[in-house]
Amino acid sequence: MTAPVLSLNDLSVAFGQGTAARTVVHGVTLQVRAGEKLAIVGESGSGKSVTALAIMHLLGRSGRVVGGSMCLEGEDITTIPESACRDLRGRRVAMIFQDPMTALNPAFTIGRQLVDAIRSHDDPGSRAAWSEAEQLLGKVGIDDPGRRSAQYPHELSGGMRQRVLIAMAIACRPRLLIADEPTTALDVTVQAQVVALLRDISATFGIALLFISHNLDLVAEFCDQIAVMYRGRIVESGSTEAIFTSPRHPYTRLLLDSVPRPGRPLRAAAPGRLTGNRSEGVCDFLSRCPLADTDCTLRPTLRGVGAHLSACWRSA
Amino acid sequence: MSRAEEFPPSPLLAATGASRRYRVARSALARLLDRRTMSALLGASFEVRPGDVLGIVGESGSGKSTLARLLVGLDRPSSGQVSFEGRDLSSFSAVDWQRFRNRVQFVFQGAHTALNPRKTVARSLSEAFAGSLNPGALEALLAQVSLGPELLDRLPHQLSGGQKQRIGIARALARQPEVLIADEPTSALDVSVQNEIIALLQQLHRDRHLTLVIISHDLGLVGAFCDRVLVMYAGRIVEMGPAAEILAEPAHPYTQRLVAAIPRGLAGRNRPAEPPLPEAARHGGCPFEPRCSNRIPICAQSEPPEVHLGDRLVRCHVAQSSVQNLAETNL
Repeated sequence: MTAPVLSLNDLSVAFGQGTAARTVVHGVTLQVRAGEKLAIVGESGSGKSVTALAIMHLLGRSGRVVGGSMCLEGEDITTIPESACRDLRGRRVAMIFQDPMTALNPAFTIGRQLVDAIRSHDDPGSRAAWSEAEQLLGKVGIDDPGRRSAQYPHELSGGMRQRVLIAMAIACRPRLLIADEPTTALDVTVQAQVVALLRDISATFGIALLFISHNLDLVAEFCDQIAVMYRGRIVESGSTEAIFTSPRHPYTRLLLDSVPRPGRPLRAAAPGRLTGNRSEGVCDFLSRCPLADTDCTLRPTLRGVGAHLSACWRSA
Repeated sequence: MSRAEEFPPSPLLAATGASRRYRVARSALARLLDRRTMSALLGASFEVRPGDVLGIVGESGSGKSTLARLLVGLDRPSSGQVSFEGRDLSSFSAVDWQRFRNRVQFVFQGAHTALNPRKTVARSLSEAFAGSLNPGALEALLAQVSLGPELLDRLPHQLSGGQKQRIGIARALARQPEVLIADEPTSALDVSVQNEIIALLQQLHRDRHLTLVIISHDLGLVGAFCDRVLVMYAGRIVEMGPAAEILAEPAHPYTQRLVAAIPRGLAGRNRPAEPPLPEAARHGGCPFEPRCSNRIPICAQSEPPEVHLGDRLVRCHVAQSSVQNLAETNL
């Protein structure tokens, strides 16, 4: 078996200093191999985006890795100097974000922005970069790349803009592509197209894909592995089939039941609210859990259940 | 069958051939030179009856928000009319508008931007009441959307997305309206929170007989929650009818595409990659023709007529010809 492109080992991330410090990612362990597609699923505040930003070294001033390690192609990237980060971002790991409008500069044509991305690493010269830019636009399914590359972001639809960002992300042939809710701002028909494109790109270029989403039904269509995060911890992980056919953690079940599907009546609102304060040492899902029992006052750790991992005392 | 079903009640809100054109040029000077207009809405006719849960779906730019703005009187149709209890909104006096606002309320899109960031929840809510405020009114209002009184002193940035959306709904409920029109009430929210908001709207519909109009781009959500669905494309209503029927057997090719695009979990694995849809062309034919896989020659020549299939209305040449064929074979 090939070595994983990305492996996170017991990664913890905190924001703030001293007594104000707050750990928002607790001991996350996961691996993605070349050509493999892993989804991190969870609600806002579950730590899925922070995990992605930690990999990109984009935590900012107040955030830092406080435990564990991150390895990219076998090399430890937990603490690397800023100069190495530049090489990391774009060339080795690329990221696409939620809102394709704000991620592009409105003052430059998309061709120019794409050429800048190509030339920022191994500069092949202006002319070669322009022809490569047009090729990339073609690869992400944009017809008439010559005309499109002369257009500004506002002249493109949301789906087109997201395609441009995907082209930009793969410009330097990264080993790992992180997509943080890339389809939230898009219509359903366009969402289906963008997801299909990401799937094909991962297969064609052998890129490892880390896809962040809150929609389990969406990620199940194309991801191989799913890690469900809740309040900074992975509460369940395993193959897409295992998670869908036999979800073990009650939070995963809640997420699965939450997705509206045609022909299925909506379930009643989840009991409990996320507003409850976190109490140390207790299972984080306790206040919302339909299966809660006395032993749940002790936080469960991830353990093997059938074909996958679940952090729940009741998931045996 | 209950009495109410036998004799459908008269419509609360109705649109009759409502169209809305906007000028393309934005500034006054440019408008002198540039006389182009674009139609955001073209000939929309439908009714909202008391107790209805109606969903309006379509992609961005399909005219669904324009339609919602016309229904609540935030904008006026360029031609056609919108009426409330049989009276044209354009004939309303100031007093009529006041009464109308007490009975029809709007929940704005974007839980994060619809609230004033500098006003506390208490202030935002109290502004929604007409006249003086009874003690305990704000607490009672929050209780209706399952929120505690401790939120009254908070500012919007101290609230979660779901809480903000609940405040937006609470604000619309302040005058005890009969009709609530919500523009994308669940977009930008997590799936589990989306569900809570929908459950809240369902509860309001059940307990207070609130008539609901839900605008969304998520056909799966609308289909699971609404009784009737209206599908919009390029400013036209292309399909309208019972939600369950439309989702099970979409008749218009655009609706078919929408239904096919709903994520289906494991069942949707390995769906083929689709190329981006070509841009909608401006010709005299059906606006969906360039994107349609079922098109026939007439589709590029004339706008499709309305075809009635049982309870359903479809605007499609292909559907019409199949209905005709069916009628001929039956003869």
